[in-house]
Amino acid sequence: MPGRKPLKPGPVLVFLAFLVLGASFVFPFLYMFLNAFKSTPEYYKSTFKLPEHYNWANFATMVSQFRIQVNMLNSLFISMSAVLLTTAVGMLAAYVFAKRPFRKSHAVYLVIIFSMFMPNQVTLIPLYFLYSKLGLINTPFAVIICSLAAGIPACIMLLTAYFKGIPDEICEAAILDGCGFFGIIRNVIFPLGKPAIAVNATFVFLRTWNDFLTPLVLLTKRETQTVVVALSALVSRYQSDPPYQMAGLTIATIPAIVMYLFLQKYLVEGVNAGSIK
Amino acid sequence: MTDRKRKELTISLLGIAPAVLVLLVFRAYPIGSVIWNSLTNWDGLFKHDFIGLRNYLRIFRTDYFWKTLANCFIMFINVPIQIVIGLVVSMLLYEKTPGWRFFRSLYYLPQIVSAVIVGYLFAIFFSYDGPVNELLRFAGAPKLAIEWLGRRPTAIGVVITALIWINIGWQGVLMLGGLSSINPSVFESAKMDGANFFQRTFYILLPMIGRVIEYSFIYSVAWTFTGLFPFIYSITNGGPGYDTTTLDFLVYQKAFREDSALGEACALAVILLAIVSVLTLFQRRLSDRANSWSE
Repeated sequence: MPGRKPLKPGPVLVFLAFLVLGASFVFPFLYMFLNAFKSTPEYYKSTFKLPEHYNWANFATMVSQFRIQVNMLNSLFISMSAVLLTTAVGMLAAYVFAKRPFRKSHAVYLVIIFSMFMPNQVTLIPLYFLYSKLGLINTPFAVIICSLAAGIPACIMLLTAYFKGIPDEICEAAILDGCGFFGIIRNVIFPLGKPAIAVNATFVFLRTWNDFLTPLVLLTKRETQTVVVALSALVSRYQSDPPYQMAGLTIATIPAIVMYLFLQKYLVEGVNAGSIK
Repeated sequence: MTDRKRKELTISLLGIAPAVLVLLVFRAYPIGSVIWNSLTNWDGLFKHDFIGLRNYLRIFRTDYFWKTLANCFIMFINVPIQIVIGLVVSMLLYEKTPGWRFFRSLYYLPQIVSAVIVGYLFAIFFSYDGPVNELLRFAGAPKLAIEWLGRRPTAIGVVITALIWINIGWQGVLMLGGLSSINPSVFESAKMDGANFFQRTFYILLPMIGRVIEYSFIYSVAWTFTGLFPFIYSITNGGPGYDTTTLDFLVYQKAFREDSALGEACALAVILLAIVSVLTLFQRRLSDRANSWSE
């Protein structure tokens, strides 16, 4: 038979290895989702079977009894605010570092980048006491500012690198057209820097949404907590009812997964661009 | 300096002012405060006197500190394992097997889910009545169905498994970036010269992405010191006793769960800070080199 190549075993094995590894990533989430539909007796009797009925009672309980929607809204508000603030503050600084360097500006840049890996455990102790003196414990503001401080260095690193690639001529033309500092940012830097700004916004959103330690310490009242922190209350409250736990975990996971479906291209490329985690 | 230049400089300084201000108040001030408070007998209420290095000396004499530090070093096992698996994954992805984009996205999935959620899933999976034991009983090995999180070796094993599982995708994507920056003609000419898969791997690929591996290694080691809190909190809660407590969890434990030990908690935080700072300095040097090399 001319033109037909024999099937090599190599690629087939690789593909199978991919499938097995892939299954290990899908299975826990699928397990979580499917068991969220079961009753507790059914869960213990047939853990690995598909649910007999797909009833949404457990999810409804999360809303009516645990009021998880309050925590979801808290998470959403805190994450969105962190994204907006980090983008605004980071963009201003990154524009200066990339396009308006002054004497010693590189030194300032390096110090900012160095602060990227300062562990939150260290800064949280004094901040907790500072916030409680100011009466800011149990307010979203406390968490938003912490998230902003933690997010600025990576944001500046990513945006500065990207803004440097914007041609100087465009900025100069904008100046000739009478643009001031903010005019250039609005008409040149923001529109041309959008891809990097989107990558950074995605990272900040996910990191703030998923962050655990900072909101755990700063938000002690259930109705002020983010959903990830509320999960620890949920898991201990429903200790003997795993299906309820699964329903709560599923609800808390869904926003991140939806976001990933839409923005995964940015995320995966962002890892290579700034090596951010 | 002319007036115009001075005005331009002022505008530049105002541009970076918000970022610098936030970092000064919410990063620099707390770090200074932690270092100062580590030298006091602060209990959060009444006592706040300078006591020199006594907190540190007391910590170094306790058993739990050394056990915690030992736990951190045991947890390091996750780093080489996730790097090797990540490297293999990236090499397979690099071959552009059908569906590689899909698999790349799939493997990255755990990274975008909160570490606490992953931790709780592992806790549920390895609980006594959980699916892992269920499988073992079903497979006819009920003796292996043990209380996984109740004993130090298995509990640490479960945590390490979670760490590897969550990071494989990140490693794979990072290494794939390194691989993609190698000129493919290098591989082509090596193939033409008759180099087999293993020769290509060990003589071309590994040396060429060595910097990426170094970078990832240091990053992961630093992460093992600072990023384990949500896993420990959700999987084992540090227990039994201090058996699975890591340094970052211990800082939280001392500062926010045990009252009146704030001076000591600050001293522990400073020790953690010192370790991470050294690693960060290393990492910056390495990533600078990696950047200049990849350009």
